[in-house]
Amino acid sequence: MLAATSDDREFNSFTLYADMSEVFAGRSSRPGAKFNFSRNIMILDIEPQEKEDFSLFAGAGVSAGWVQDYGRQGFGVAAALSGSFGANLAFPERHILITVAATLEAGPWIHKDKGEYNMFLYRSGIYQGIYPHISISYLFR
Amino acid sequence: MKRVLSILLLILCCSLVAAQEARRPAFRWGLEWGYGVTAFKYWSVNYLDSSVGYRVWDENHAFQAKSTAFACICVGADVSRKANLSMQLGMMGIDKDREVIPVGIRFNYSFRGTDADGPMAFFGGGLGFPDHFTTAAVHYANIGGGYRIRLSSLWDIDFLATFRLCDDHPPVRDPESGEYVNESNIRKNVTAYCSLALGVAITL
Repeated sequence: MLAATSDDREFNSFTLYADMSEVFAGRSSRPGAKFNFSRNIMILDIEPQEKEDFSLFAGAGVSAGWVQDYGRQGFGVAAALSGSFGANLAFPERHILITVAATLEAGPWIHKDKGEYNMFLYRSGIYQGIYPHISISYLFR
Repeated sequence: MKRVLSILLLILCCSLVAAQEARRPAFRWGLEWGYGVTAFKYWSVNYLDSSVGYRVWDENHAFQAKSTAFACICVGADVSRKANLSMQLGMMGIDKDREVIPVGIRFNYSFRGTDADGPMAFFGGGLGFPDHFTTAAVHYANIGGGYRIRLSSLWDIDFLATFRLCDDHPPVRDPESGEYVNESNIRKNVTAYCSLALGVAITL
């Protein structure tokens, strides 16, 4: 969910993810769940071309979730600071927004193993930073 | 009267020429990705166990739910007002710990035209090249349908559902030793998968 502020150059994004990284890699059959809040600023807004509106944005935020980590067994709690950079392509007449962005997350991953809690660096948050994610959103206005 | 008839004939000829004017193929490229489930697997394996010198034969099938994903780049052209032919290249998972680089073609038919919202159907196939163990290519064929939303004169978004058949020659692991069987000891190694996938394509 994207929520614009009174200044149209800033917007907040609230995203709930199904963490599929280990599922797509074939190493797990269960996805995790992760929530991200990000405060974003438009750094470039190109004048509307015909029916599409293109802009670049960057933002910072926080992520937290119950996820698996790269190369490790089992689920754990991840809490991380996030940084995003991406592009929005909006089609107001069709009420569709396409976003391509890369998000880097840095923080701990806490995992319980044999009754003990262990804390590791959340590797997936860094490794997945090189893979852009594409999202398709519905514009209510 | 002759002049009137001549004029009428010329007007009719112009209309016919306009109707039959050849459409220049519209070049399109796009990105497609999706998530699927490999629901059925058949395998037939025949190899020589070098440690004891006897032949092992295993043939069976199973219903399963192995998650897979795919992402590919598509490049093609509209061959008519409703049809499109494209080539695909990307990455595709076909089973647990098996991913290939697919190179294929697809024929796409849009019932209301490639430049309009509407349902579509497609079929295609190609080769998938594994990145390890064996150089034998995977063969795949797919069929499916979907719905196109025309975002603008340049951009389209397609929501797709695909049924895929695939044959593979994956690494063979001996169940007793846990080791991979040497390829020179394998006499037959055929595995077939059936999978269902949902995907999204953004085309320009």
